[in-house]
Amino acid sequence: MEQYLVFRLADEYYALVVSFIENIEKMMPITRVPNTKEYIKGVVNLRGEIVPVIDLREKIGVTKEEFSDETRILIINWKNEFKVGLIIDEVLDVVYLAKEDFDAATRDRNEFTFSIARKGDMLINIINLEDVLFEKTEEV
Amino acid sequence: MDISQYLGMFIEEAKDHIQSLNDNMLKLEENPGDLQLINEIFRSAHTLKGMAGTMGFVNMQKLTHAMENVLAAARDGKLRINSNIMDVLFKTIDALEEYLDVIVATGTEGSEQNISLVNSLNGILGRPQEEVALKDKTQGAQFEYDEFVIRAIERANSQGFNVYRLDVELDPNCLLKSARAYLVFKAVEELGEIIHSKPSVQDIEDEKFDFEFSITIVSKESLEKIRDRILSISEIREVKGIEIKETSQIAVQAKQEVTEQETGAITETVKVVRDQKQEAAKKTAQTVRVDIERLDVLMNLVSELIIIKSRIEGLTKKYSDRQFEESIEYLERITTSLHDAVMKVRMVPVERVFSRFPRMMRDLARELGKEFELVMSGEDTEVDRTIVDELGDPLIHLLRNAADHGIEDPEERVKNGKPRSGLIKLSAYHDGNNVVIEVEDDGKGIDIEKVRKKAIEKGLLKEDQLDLSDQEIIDLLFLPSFSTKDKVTNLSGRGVGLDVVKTKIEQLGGMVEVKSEKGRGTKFIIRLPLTLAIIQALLVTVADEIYAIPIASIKEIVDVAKEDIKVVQKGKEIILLRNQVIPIKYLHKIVGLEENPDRKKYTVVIVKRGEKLTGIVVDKLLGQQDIVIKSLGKYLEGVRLVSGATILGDGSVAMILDPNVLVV
Repeated sequence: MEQYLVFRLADEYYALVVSFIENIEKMMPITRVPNTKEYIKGVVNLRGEIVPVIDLREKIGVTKEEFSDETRILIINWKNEFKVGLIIDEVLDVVYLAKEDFDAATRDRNEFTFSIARKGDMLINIINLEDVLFEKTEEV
Repeated sequence: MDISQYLGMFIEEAKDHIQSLNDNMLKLEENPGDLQLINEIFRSAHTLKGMAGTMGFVNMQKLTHAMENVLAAARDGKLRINSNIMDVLFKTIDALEEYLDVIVATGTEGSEQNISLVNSLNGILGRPQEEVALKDKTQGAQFEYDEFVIRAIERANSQGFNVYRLDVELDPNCLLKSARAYLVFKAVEELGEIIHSKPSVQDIEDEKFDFEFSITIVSKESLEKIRDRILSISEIREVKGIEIKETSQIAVQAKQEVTEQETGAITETVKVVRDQKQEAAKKTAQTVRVDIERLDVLMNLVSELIIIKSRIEGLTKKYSDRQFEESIEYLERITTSLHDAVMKVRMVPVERVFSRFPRMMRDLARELGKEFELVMSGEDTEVDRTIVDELGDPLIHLLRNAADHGIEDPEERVKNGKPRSGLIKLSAYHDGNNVVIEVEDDGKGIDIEKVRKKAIEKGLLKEDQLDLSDQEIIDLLFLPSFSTKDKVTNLSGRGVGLDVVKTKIEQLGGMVEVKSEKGRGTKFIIRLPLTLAIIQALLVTVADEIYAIPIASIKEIVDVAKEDIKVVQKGKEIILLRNQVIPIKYLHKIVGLEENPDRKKYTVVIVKRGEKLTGIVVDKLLGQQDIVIKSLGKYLEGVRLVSGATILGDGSVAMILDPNVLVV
């Protein structure tokens, strides 16, 4: 059993293993970095540290949307190599998911690997962080 | 005794000694008869031997011992230094360095015994290996004081104390040698102060001595009295004592075989050496070795202080109050001084890198069968140590390059009317907020035609690009995997090219340029910022975004009217500034923004990269400020155009533009 943070992107549920998440921040001013991919919104000043921020909706191909009061930035610490923020629409819950909660992995949308988990009547897309951070997503 | 706490000290000092061995050996090679040098080398080797012994590094000790024997023979005029001996000695130094590397990595000296090297060293003296131990014994009789003891002797003499050296010989039937020695020590200590003993007190206590030992004492008593006191202890066979009046006497003492005339010279030598050492000793006493990580922490704190200072400065505009403003000004002054002070602490002379090159170039000359001389200048030029640490590789590359590609074979040089031996100059100097390092050779220069051909061959140059200027052709050398060398040598054929040098230098926020004249030579010019962490920058805006441009790369700022921007050659925009053509770029285009529609005047920031200039059109100037450079992190690594980010006074982030990319 592992703990997952469940959050909302548009009207779907997604989840990430909590061990990667260092912090959940409210929306803050983002400075654009020129010459980067569209989904990289820029960088934020996280108490003196510069952290790049990715709009997860755009990155995994869900429609683009305005930020709201519920919008949060999940600060990810990737193996102590770097930090990166993921913008999500709303944090919902922290849940335990066991093996039997998962369906087989499916390939979906822009070639990201998702596993689907069921919790009660909720269907949750489990995000493979490595895909999100490193997979090439340039449109052809 | 737990020696591990001394390991760090041992490593640092051993490094210094090995470096000085290398340096002095190089000098000796030019001047094989220089007794002063031999003496100095001997001292280094001797100290190193002692240090290694103390730390329990037996193999290292044995090797230095064999080396010391050779040097002692040379010093005593029994051996003439020739190039073969030099080679063996150089190899020995390399081996010592390897020991040290292993010690740094593992804390132990490893198992390498370097037997063949020890044998070569012994072979020089014409003695088989088993005689090593014997030699050790005769060495024991010889007397060597370190500078500390010499100073103590001098001080004692000047204060009217007597200094005696006492050679104590125990009765061969004596059983508890160390106990006997202990009694001698105790007796002598009632009459004076022991400042030196050979073997060391520790060794004597451990009974690591035969039946003789020597002590040097400072006392008010007469030599006779002390001698008698020692002799009153049982099982002492003999005590020989002499008074040491002058420290130069030590040298004379040690070299009884040397003739009168030479004695004078050596005495002088010892004095000179001692003076230098004294100075060095004085200096170390006033410095502290600090862990670089602690300095980094300090530097970060200063950075934070500068940011918060800017932030408070911003607030003064809101809450105008005279006293408040005065305090802020004071804060500003303190912050600036603190920043300067921390910076200075981090500054180290480039000598740290330069010092290993003479040796490297000597080996290189031999390997390549070429003749050249390396002349260095400006070794005392100081740079932030983060930069110094990174400089080694690019410089090694450029120096190898100069030796391998630049300098011609001696015969070819003579044929072209040049001196047989080439010249490679390595110099460093400060230029404003930059440090400049140049590697220059008087070799054959870069063959433009060859580069051009190669570039076409490699597809780096299209047929329609053939009108490139010579300089532009030369710049092609910095493209990845460009090598004009037909033959791959084990020097340059390491799969790396000048592009690696360029990348490294640019990573450090610097730039590299090359100038070359056919038949006359090539010069690489590296320009680096003095520090990486905090710089002066000009803040500019375009649309509603703020960007920082490093002041060091700004030549000037001009306002131009729209009609002064001329279009030439297929839409290239330029301005004329004092008759100089300067290409123009628009910052909004560079960073991918829309143009401000109601722009009336054009504010042009002229940015330089070496001698090349480019005008950058911005919307507004916000002013000059100290900024702290923060990395964008690994995830955004490789974003061109931006060399980092900084946090402004209001907590917002601004991108720092990379001048190397702005200027083309």
